Amino acid sequence: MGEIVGEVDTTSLLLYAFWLFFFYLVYYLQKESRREGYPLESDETGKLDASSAVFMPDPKTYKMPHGHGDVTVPNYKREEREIKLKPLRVWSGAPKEPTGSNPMLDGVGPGAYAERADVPDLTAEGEVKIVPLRTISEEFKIVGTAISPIGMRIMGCDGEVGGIITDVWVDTAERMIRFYEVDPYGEELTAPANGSAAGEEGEGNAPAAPAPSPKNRVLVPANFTTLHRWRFSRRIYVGAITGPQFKDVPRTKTLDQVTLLEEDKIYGYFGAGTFYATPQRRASKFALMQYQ
Amino acid sequence: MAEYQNVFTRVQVFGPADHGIPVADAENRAIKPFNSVLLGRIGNAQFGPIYLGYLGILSIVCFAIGFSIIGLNMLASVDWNLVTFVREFFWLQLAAPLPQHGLKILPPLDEGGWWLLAGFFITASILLWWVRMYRRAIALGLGLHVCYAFASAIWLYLVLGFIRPILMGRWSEAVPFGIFPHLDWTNNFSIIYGNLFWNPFHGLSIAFLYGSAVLFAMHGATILAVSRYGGERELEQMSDRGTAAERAGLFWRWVMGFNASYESIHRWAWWFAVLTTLTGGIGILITGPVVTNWTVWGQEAGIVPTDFSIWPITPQSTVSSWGAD
Repeated sequence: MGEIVGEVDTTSLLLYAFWLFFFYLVYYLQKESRREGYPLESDETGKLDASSAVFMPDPKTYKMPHGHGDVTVPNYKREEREIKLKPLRVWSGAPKEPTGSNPMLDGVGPGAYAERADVPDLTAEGEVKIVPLRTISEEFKIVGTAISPIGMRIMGCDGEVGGIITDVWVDTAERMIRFYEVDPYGEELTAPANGSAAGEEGEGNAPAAPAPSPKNRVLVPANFTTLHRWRFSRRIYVGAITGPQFKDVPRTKTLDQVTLLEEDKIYGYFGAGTFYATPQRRASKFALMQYQ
Repeated sequence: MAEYQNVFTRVQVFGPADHGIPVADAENRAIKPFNSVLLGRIGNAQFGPIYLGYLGILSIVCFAIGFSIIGLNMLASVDWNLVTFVREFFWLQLAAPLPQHGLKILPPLDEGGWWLLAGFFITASILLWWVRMYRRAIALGLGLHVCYAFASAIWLYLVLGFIRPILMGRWSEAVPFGIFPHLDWTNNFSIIYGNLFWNPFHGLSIAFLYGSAVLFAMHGATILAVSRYGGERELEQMSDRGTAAERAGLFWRWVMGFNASYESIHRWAWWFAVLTTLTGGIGILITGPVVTNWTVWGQEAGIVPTDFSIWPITPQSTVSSWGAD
């Protein structure tokens, strides 16, 4: 039924036409997927993979707003910074061990970050998008929880307090909290060694808190935190890093904006914590594998 | 202790009403925007404004008329008894015209006339809504990808209720309005035309349907998983790749050997969704006008066995296991 010529029928013709279209579509979609991270590079020799050329797409250009120029992908750019990792075996894809003394600070493996632009993310109007709540407090306020997180303690995975939350940084375009601003030295200042009550008005007893500066404020990504009941109050809990490690979170240059590069370094630090924060996390990956 | 899974937003921020990108015809916006903590738990807290132009209002009016025609006919079929209506709702229907009326406009109201009127208004509502989406996209300076995807769905809808019945010469070929009745229609359709599973475009449509479901689950999960690295800011990751995009791609590369990029995953998802209804519409269109029995077609194409003894009738296979026989 439905034959066109001899054995060929309409349905088969339509089907073959569809396969032709679909195979081209998959080829096109695979090309589109190669705008980042391609062409492939051999782990052992460092040579570029020649077969990638079949699938490399024609470059496309994003015209960035607010005078930020054009971005063309693929851009064949390599990141030039030294990677403090050594492969455990010679074959391509072998696992790698960090070589630095504190892998949390090296930006390697799960702590990796990308060399993004060192400019802050902007809204459609060209304003800085992620800002501290104190700069926009006339129009923005925290809701959804009876106790504001500002002033709460932030706790690491070891149960130790990492600091005191001094502010929240808000994404003004998407209306959400992106970072908690934390004073990682705040706990020592409010709980002095002689055991007197925190926050007492001093006649010189407690040391005056130093002025806020990028040195004593760190940003903690909100999506690495949970709001947690602690005895009869609440704390913000971070499972990625330990309490003392809050002091080493990569800093921003100023206290009123964070650039895309700084954001990525901060995210990377917390990612590093999931693998490198405690000896148990490092050991469990390799103890049974007997690579040493 | 549980890491933040990013299922609900616990600590929220409310700001002043966000009116979005400045556009020309802002005077048609209705509903003064308000913030809701409940909405904010799962997404953006602000509700409104809604754009209500002529097209949207006309679409809603047409839908209301069509919806009422269907509902009132269902109610009439149970003698206007509301209790019976609620009890039997899933089985009630507004049936397509009788076969002897062919493509007549308008058959007697109780022999398909109401169906034709309801169908006209529902279709008008859908098409008006499509034009509304087109105009809103242009007003906001967006690409027309949503419109074209919606057009693919409308293609299937029109094939089922309009194009194929016209090719077959009678409205009775079309789908009735009713929950279970329209499902019975699909069952009967497949039986009449020799098992639609052997229709290659029906099979393609199923593949793209399953693929769309899987892809959406994969993409939603991937973005939530890298939301701790700011991964849900997809446009920024597209034009300036960050560690979120790198981790997302590496995850799938390590799991299945290849990966998409932050932009291309949306192209994969768009095509899979659009092809579901595109191939489905083609499959329905050729069932009847081109092929009358898919099992016979399959045998001629070499995918269905001609000797059914390979599927032996066993003593158990002809007896119902739950006692209905």
